[in-house]
Amino acid sequence: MKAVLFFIIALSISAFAQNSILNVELQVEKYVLKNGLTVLLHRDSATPLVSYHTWYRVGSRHEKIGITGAAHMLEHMMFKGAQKYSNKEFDKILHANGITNNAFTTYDITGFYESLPKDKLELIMDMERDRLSSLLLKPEDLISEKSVVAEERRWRVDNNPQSLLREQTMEIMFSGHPYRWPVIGYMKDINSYTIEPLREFYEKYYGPNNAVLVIAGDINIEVTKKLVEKYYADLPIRTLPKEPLYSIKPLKEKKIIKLFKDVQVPSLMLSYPSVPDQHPDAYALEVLSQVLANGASSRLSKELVYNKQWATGTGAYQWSLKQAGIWGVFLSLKPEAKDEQVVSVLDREIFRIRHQLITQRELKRAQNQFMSDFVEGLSTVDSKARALASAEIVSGDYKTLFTDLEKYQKVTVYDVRRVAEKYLNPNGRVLAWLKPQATQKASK
Amino acid sequence: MKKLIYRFSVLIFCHAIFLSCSHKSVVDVNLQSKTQYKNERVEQLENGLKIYFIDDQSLPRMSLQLLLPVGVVNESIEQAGLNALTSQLLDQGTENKKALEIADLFADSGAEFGVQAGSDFTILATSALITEFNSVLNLFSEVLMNPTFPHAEIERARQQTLVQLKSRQDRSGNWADLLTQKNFYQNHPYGRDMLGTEPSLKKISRQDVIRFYQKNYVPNQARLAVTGRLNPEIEIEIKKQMSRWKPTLKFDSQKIDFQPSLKGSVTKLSSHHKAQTEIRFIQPGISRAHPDYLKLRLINEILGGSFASRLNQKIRDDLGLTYSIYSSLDTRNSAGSWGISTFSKNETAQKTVDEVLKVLKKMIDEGVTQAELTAAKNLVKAQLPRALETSDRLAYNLIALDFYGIGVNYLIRFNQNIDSYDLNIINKALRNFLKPDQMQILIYGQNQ
Repeated sequence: MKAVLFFIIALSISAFAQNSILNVELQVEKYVLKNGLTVLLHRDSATPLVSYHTWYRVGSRHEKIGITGAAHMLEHMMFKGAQKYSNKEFDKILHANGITNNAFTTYDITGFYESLPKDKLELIMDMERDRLSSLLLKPEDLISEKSVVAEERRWRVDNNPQSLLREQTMEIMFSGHPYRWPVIGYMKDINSYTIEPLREFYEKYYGPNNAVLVIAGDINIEVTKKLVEKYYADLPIRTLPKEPLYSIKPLKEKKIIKLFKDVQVPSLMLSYPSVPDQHPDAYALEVLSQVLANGASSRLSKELVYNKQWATGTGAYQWSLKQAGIWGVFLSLKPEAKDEQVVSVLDREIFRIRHQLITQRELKRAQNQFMSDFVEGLSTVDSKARALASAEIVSGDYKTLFTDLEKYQKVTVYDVRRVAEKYLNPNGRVLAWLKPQATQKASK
Repeated sequence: MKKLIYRFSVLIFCHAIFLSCSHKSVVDVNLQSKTQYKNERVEQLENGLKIYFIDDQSLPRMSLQLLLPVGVVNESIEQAGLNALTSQLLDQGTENKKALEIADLFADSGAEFGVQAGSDFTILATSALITEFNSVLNLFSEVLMNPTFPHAEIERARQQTLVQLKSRQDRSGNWADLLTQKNFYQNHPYGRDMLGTEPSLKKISRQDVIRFYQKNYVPNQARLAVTGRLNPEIEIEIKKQMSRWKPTLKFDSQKIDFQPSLKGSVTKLSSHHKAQTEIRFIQPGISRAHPDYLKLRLINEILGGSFASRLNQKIRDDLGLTYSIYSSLDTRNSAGSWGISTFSKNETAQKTVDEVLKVLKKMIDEGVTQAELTAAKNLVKAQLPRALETSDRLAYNLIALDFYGIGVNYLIRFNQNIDSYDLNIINKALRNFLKPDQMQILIYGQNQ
């Protein structure tokens, strides 16, 4: 073991949140094996369960044109068998041992996770090690899995106009960067994958030094450490390729997308380039989202849903990726809502928030919501494991899970106005409409 | 798990005592293996409300989940959507506060007022940090007991719901689910969209909403679960507030019998979604309180309950016909169904239907194997601690089981009952209940 660190995080939020006595404690042991595998262990014996998360620092960002979706395809192939646990066996063994499992791929991360009875810990380590070290990647498995992923793309994107709208927005927002293509990939690439680029991808990125392992639940820390050593310590370090430096072309104009589809109800997505993960402005941008459009007490909901009754729902978000970010608003509209009237209210509210301070009550409300969400996010063993894995892989330090909360509490009304002024640039945004097909003619 | 069973064993007796008491009873129900759960117990107020207190000191929060035995089954067909509308309007104005004021006050505490209107019951819920709980409790009580249903708010909610109804068709999977339920349940309320229909919504008046509320949103047979960092002061305050909730003289929860069609059918409907065809299978199932419920859960697990199930292995993994296929039991108070849900590209939709039918036939012809049964038992038993992992989940299970008249014995004997089913029992249940010839199949895609 390269380093063994022991942390006890005891956080008293009362120090920075008036009238709040939030005291959350999470005991985590973090260490890094000689081969670079980062391990986080958290003991919670409330239920006889263990949550096992293996996350890799690889996503669709690491692909290139022609093999878009490869990271996601490889995630699927990770269930198709390795040297010891062959195809079909993998899921059957998990099932037979009361283990549930799944995986996900994003622009930056690929994660695998299982929820298991506590006495199955060694079994899952053996299985995860097997597919991390000796994935078979057989061409015959790829044939059927390509069809599965093609169906997934039809379901997620082609048959889902909202996703198509998102796909088109990303192409504009991230011109010149791999974030411009969808995580699932384009259909032509899905249909033409071969084993070779997937194997290359696997060999490049699926190394212990590119992974974070989180084991949380009813575990004995010392026994678990020995098991981690036994199953992972001899895995070789992979030489990670140097990532090309991408430059995202700044968005210097108002772009408008109009997608006419056979939908009954229109919607609108407004996107601005913002900041990546760990950027200090991300916290104020999230407060801004809450105040402007999240929940029935937000400004846009009050104006568009309640007063004008032009919308049925509003939402806003700061979406931080590793190398870039988007700040966006989403509106579900009523069919009779007039485009120009909706945009006029939207622009007016954005203008207000860029030039006037939000109230202390609005700020406190948003901060209370973050605290509630933080606490709710620690209610199960799996949610704790997920939160730890996410914080560790995004920032390199799981403790940001706690310090982030502090940063939300330190946001001021001035910060919110400053970030609104800085990032919500009226001359650099994408306004994407999804509209019923029947309205296309009138629109022209 | 042994510890869990032991503690539940204590409960059997206590719960039986509790149910025999009609007024103001206090019973200790020690329900969980979680070390931080203490002093779980049920009290019944004089107005009939049962309160489940579950002390959970693990996080600085409190939550409230209220189960009201009112749902779609309580509506007439002419007033379809009345329950959803009524529940949605609770926080849209009270004697002392207007809609936006209520929204602001919940939000000030970092809380939300959640409503889930269902076919048999409706859940109202909220949660908050412990420091905010008193104000959230006051608001919760106010919207529950003193809504005023202002005209303007009814109109606003009605218009919102009409748009929601329109947008149902924008997600083909959800629309296929609704069509399947409608075909299966025909005129039974279970076949209706919870939100109602355009004509029914347009007819509902303010008086209808008020009458429905006064008749059904009463404490008589309601169950409130309170979880989190309890202390005597909070408990006294909750009981004090809930005691103000006025009961009706007589309240009967609604149960409407259903005789399903035993005839299989294939319905092909055209969808404007061009890329994929949604496929649904549905056949008669069982109600939630049926004694064979656990047997069917095991069979369902083998058929289509997980990645290792027969349907998933054959239709997805071997044939690559879909990204997702699963079977599920939908068990309600009066009846239930057993269904299979999947999708495939238009060209392979019929092949998918044929292959699913082959999987069903093979399963019935050959029965399930011992290895499959053992695996399913392990998986289903492992789901119990997950289902009870948080105090909120435990609370939800307790109030829902009580509603269905099943009681906590279901949890106490869960593993024991699962283990008692051998291969013969399961294969007999399989042949009794799984009926491919009674499947109603919906194929919903382009140019059907």
